[in-house]
Amino acid sequence: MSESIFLWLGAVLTAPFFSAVILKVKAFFGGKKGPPLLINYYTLIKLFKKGSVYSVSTTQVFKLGPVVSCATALAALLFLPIAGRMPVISFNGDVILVLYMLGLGRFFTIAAAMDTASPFEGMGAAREAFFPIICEAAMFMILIFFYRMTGELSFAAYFSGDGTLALWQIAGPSLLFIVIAFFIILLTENARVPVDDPATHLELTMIHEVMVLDHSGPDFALIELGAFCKLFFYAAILSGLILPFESGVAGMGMLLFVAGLGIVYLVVGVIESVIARYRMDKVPQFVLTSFALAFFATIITLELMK
Amino acid sequence: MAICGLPPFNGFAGEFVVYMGGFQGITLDKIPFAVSVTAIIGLAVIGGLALACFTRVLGIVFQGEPRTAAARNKTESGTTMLAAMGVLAAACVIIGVFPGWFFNLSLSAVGALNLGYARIPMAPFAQMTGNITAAAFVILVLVLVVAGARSLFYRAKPVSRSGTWGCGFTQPTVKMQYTGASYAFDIVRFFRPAAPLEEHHPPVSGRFPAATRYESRVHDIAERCMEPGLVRPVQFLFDRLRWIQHGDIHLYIGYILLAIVLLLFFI
Repeated sequence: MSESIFLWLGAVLTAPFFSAVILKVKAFFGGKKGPPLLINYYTLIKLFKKGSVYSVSTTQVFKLGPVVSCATALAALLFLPIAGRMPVISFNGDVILVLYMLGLGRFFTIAAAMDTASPFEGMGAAREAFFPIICEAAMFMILIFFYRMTGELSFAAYFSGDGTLALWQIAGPSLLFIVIAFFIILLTENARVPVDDPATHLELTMIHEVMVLDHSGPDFALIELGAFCKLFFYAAILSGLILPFESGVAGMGMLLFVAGLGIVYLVVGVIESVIARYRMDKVPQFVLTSFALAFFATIITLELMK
Repeated sequence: MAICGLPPFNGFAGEFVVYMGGFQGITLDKIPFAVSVTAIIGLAVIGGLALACFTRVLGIVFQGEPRTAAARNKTESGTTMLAAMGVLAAACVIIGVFPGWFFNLSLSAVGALNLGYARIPMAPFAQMTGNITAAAFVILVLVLVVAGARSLFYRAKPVSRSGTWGCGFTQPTVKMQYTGASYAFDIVRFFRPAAPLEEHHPPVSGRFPAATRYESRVHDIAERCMEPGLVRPVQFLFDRLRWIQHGDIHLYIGYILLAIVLLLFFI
């Protein structure tokens, strides 16, 4: 238990570091030196030191947005098995709870955006409300796949111990589909290229960034921290999927987990460097691809399980 | 929030149980499997749509700058009206955090129907509701911790108020805010087959275009299909029979007599 809590704390504390890996990769592709790997910590400290400016249109809901979105991201990490160890909390059905908890965070982010009376933030909120509808369908399709294979509904059953390795041996090809589908969901849910461009400077083309335009100071720091944790959460699941090896050597599991995380963040960075953001009306098709992949993976396993 | 099925509210407790039931069907074969998949995916999409729908309601009705003169001059309702709403809201939270009691109540209610539901084992429910309660407390504690940290960070900090960031535009008006139609536009366009969208927008032409307008309406698919298919034929049929209802009281008494005589044959 205490080990799980330490791992959880470690995850929260290192999440900003991993997000900086993406920036470094992008800088490498652009032929630049790029910001230091600790840049996100500097940003967070800078923001926490500042005061805030609130719009005259806003109410208490606006201040609640960052708190709830950060808290739900932190809570989601509590259910995540890190490096194959048991998570802090785990029960049958916790996957459903986590998905809906992230929904709660989204609800408050959207509510805070609508509170500002800004047309830009309304636009971002509309997109933020739209794409996760398809994401959620894809996510539950993946869940159906996992339930079909393991008969369990908790992260601990999927990613702790040698459960994942056994899964690769039974249904390797379909799991490959699942990995790609989940990666698409990661890009969509965390507002990365090609769904959203976190580095854009034009409000009209943003999704997540435009919704938080009016937040400043510690409020904005909480939002950023929540976003780092959320990306870490998705990346950790992918890491568990792609490097599921168990080993008796102490610390080896942790090393593999971090290596998996590194690979995921690296790939996100490479994708962000080599392709541009899709046109907004093409994004639903992109997200639907993940649903289709998960669907086919499940259909294939129907044959396997006979 | 409760109606979107978000934890820690009552909607989630119900949805959680439905999901658990749906997933039980996944282990089965063929038809039950297909039905369960459809149910789960349907529930997931509906959850997403509910979130979009109710953030829209909340955002357009309660948030932002007042959009009409009537809204600008509103005042808060009296204490008794607020208290009534407060009781309902508290019920949403209490059922969401402690769903166990309420599941037992509803199970004993369906048990009384003698349809065989009384045999439902209670143990899995107790476990599920215990988990929901625990999770609700985790969320609550974390929200309080983050809120506490936030207020610590804001101690002795300059906090000022200003206008909303408008991308450098200096003359914002309340009319520039997002409306319900614009908020839902992308979603409605995606679900076109289920929600036919009709737009009226005279094109802008010439160097000095005249004033134009935009109007959109989303049709109800049930209304659209049922009107020509069901309502019209029924209406046509009953139009033809209208002569029976003529307002002559003597003939009405005649109808009653006729009915009684006819019924006598069946005794």
